[in-house]
Amino acid sequence: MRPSGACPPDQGRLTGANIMFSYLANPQRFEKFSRIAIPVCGWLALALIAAGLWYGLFSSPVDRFQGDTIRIMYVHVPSAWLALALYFAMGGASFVYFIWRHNLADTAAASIAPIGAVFAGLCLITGAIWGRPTWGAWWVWDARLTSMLIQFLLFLGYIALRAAIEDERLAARSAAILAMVGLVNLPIVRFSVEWWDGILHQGATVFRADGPQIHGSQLLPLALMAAGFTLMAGWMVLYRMRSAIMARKAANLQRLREARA
Amino acid sequence: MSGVIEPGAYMEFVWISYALTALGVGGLLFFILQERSSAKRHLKREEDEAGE
Repeated sequence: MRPSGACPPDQGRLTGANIMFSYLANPQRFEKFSRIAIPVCGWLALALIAAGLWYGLFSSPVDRFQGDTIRIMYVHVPSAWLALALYFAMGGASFVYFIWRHNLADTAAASIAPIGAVFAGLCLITGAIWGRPTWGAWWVWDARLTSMLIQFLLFLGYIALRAAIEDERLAARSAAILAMVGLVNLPIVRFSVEWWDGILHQGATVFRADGPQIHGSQLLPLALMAAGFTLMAGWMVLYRMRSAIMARKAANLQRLREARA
Repeated sequence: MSGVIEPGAYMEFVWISYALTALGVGGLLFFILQERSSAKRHLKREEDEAGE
């Protein structure tokens, strides 16, 4: 018998994500994987964030032009990076669910949405706080900021859409379509600083073809915080997925009990 | 305006950013732990009912 949520063998070609979801679709395998991955992600995240906070707040030097406000970068950039990475993961999981009907992929997408929304919101808020002293404005309607706001609204839209439709399958499919359509916004956010002129937001400084344009003393806390935030988000997603599986199991038992009564 | 921010200036902006990030992450953690506790309670209740 095929395990619940696994894809029929004749449906489509296998992708990396599909192979991963196929493997983990078996509840025992996912349980085994998450039992190891959750504490590993959690403890590593804690250690990296603690080190990142130390370097970011106390050890790294002030910036020549931006003074101490550069320290906002160590929470702003990881939040921005996570907002985009989590949306990419949510869109990818939605695609796998939409095509191969992996329940685990849908659970992953639904688990990611509120976490991504919080990090996108934090990116916008910390960006506004950083913008005030450096640009003299809390907000400008340039392409980078506007596309990031759209990213935040896409997360909220996904959550609202799932909550608004009572039929679980229809809600999952509709939300998956929205998540996949929203993937179009990712390259717009990423390349907006290159595609549009007159943008206040600075261009890419870390992921560049000619290497990072940032001093090592600033790159270290940034890398520590980015890695710590990423592992923390991984912990959160896996933890929420396990909770969702528990809730689904409880709901199934409840339905069985009510059917018998 | 010189275009240079003096060291130590706008430190309140830095602390507020970190505080708001801590609040956001802390709130998210609280929500996630509450969600787990609620799912656990529901599952336990249903398993107990099924066992009777």
